[in-house]
Amino acid sequence: MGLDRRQFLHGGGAALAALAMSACTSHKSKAAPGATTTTVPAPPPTAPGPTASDLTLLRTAASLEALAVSVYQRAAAADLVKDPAALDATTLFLSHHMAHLQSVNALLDASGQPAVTTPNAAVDKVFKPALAAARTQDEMIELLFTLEDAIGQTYVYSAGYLTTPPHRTTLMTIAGVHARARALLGIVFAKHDPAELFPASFARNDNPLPPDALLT
Amino acid sequence: MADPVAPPDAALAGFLQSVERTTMEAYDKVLPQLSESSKTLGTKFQGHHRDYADALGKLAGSSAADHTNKTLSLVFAARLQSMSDERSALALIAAIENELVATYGFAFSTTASPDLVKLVATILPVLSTHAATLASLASVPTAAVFPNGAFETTTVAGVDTTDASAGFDPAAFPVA
Repeated sequence: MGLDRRQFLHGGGAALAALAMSACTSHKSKAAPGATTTTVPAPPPTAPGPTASDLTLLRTAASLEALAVSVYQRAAAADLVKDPAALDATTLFLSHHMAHLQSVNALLDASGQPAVTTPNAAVDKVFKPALAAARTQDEMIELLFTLEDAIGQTYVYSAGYLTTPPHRTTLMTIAGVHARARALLGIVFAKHDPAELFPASFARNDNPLPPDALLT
Repeated sequence: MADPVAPPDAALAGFLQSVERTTMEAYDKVLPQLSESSKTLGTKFQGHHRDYADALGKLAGSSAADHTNKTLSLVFAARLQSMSDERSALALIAAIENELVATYGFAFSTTASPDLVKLVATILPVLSTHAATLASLASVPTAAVFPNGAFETTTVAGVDTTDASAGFDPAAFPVA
């Protein structure tokens, strides 16, 4: 069963853009809002092979990991993160995203699809001005926090649609690591109140991306 | 009335529910060891586990577990005896949260029910956040906050495992 593109794109974009820009306009950022939303339709039953929708989600995931690699590299080049512990952490997170990119591309390769190595252009359009606007370590950390949050939420959303168990398992084993990085960025380096990281018991599962972020 | 999901997935949901109830019980033992600020957070996390148990119970139907997992409860009880101060209590409960993440990773790789997939997907990242938060409060080095590196594990094991990051194998921790 194919994915209804209008349903898939429901609700994404504006919130991400607002969060990314707010990261660079305030030292005191907000944790991702909200409870689990259930606006998406029930996922399709498990199928023996990847559907066109699965491949779209995998390509999008690879492009988001490529974006994360690029954002962390640009953040390093901006030389705003000076604290040694924060520098070590962001270097570690960059290496994680490189491993994620490789892993998602391996799934695409196993499905007979070409690798995606280019950062997601639609999401980069959101982060590029935010990166350029960042002037302090705190602002850069907030931006990375938002990035981890948005990509992690995309994977929770995707898990509800992916029909191939290894694909959704891989994305969720990555989403957990994004959540850990988000926690450290938020608590240890951005000094958020830890409680702010838990607006609800359940992670959000609505689509946080701009409409044109989907790689069909 | 039929169960909300197919029998194997209903049993899995019931197992996860029993693990959640046992984790809530572990928090009861850990919370008195914590400072006020950490205790507030720990109480919040315990509430999350209660919410997960309730949600899983709805999918488990007739396989719902209204009790703790007895084998896991014994394992936790033995470990909880080693708590000597707040830091050790935080490290211990962070380790349990890590094992829960692995257990949910395993569940993800085995369930076929769309409803259970969607539910587990909204729980796993919050458990990872619990683990990282508690580890940071216990002053664990950054790299050690990622016990399995760039990916969460889906490995589960039994009572006698030496793999500290493995989750709980449903076969070894039956819902009795």
